[in-house]
Amino acid sequence: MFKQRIWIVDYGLGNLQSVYGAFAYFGVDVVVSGDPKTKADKIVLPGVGAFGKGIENLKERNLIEPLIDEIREKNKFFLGICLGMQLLLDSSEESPEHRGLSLISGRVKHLGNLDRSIRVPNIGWGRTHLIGKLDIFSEMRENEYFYYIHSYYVEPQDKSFVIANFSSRIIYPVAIMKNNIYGVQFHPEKSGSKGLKLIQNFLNL
Amino acid sequence: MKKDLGVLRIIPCLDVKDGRVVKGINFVDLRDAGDPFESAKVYGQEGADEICVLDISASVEGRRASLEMIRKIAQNVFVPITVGGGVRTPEDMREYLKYGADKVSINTGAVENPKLIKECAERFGSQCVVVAIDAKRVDGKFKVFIYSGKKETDLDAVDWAKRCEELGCGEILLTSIDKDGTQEGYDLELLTMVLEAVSVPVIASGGAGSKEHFLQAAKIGTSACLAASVFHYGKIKIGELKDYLKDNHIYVRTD
Repeated sequence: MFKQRIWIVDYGLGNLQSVYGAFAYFGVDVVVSGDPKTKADKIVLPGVGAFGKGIENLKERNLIEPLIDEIREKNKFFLGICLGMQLLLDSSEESPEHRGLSLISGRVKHLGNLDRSIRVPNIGWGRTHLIGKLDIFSEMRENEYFYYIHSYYVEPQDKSFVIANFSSRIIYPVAIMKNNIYGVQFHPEKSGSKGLKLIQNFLNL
Repeated sequence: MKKDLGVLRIIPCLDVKDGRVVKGINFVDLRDAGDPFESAKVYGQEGADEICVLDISASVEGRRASLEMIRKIAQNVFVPITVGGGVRTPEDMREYLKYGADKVSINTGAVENPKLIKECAERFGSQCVVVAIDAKRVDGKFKVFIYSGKKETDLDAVDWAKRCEELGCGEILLTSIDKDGTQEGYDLELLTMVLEAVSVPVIASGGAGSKEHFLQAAKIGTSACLAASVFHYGKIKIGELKDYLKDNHIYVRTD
């Protein structure tokens, strides 16, 4: 593992301790901060909570422009986890009055749209089909179990950004990638050994 | 009955009192069952799908669970953690989440102030709000008990579960006080009634004593099985339990 500094963005939402613990496990320099001037090699946007609240909190802390600048202009590797991924899109059915970061075009939709007979939120370990052997999924099987806890899912306009799909009972996108931007709906910091492997792969980018 | 997207979850539960894991029978006669931090770490490594940590004396003593304990467990255990005990306000929940809980369970606090469920769900999202319901048979009905089973309420467990869902809870942790610690099997009647009444996931709790008991609960559609005694005292190993369930055509997570 090469020496690097990871910025875990603290915007008042999300399981920061767990995300911190999983990255610190690999011995890299991890800073958990809400300071928009934070300098790091890679950025992680965690998040558990509602879309509208997420955007409002980012705004209040003046984090939106610095994040977009780091991601789009400086091409820093970025990982959005759960809500942290959903915020990358244009909008969400969860909070129609709010606009997302629009780093990836598309919408966030409610799981109930896909199938009325499923229990929502989807809480638990879901079979996940990894499309191709992409970098954050390197050295993994075609199907792996990851931990999910969510009611909404992402639907990017450009389907070629989808790098993994949920694959038990129903199918929908759960991981996306566009250039230096990665997003996962599941929680790698909570997905046991496979989740740690994904984090290690991200650190190896 | 609605279906879960994920596989059946196996959840060891650590009931914590004075910094130690304890376990009793029917919520009384508590005995020491180990160190919470070590237990959580070992269960995580052994294949637990989630770990539940309940500070069982917090509400009775009118305080929060230990935030340092939550932090230490969260930083070293890489499966989800549900923390409960003493949650009275959204601020309490915020602290538990901040210190590393993935989900927070409310019990007494929700019964005494149902609005708390709604406030927490709006602020943190339904997915991390678990309502723990402790139910006991009284005159042929399932009644809700609070303060770790010490106080009876007028609430019917099934009606209360429905109300919790309406208020926005994301999951029900359903414990049978009658079966707790007895190892004679989950209360399948109670479980079926609640599974049929709500569309959020339901965790069966109280009474697991053998692998067959987990299979019974899985077959009637439970989202997760929680257990304490059988894991603490080494009667069942999580890996063996999952192999058994898999052999019986229940989907579980294996590495």
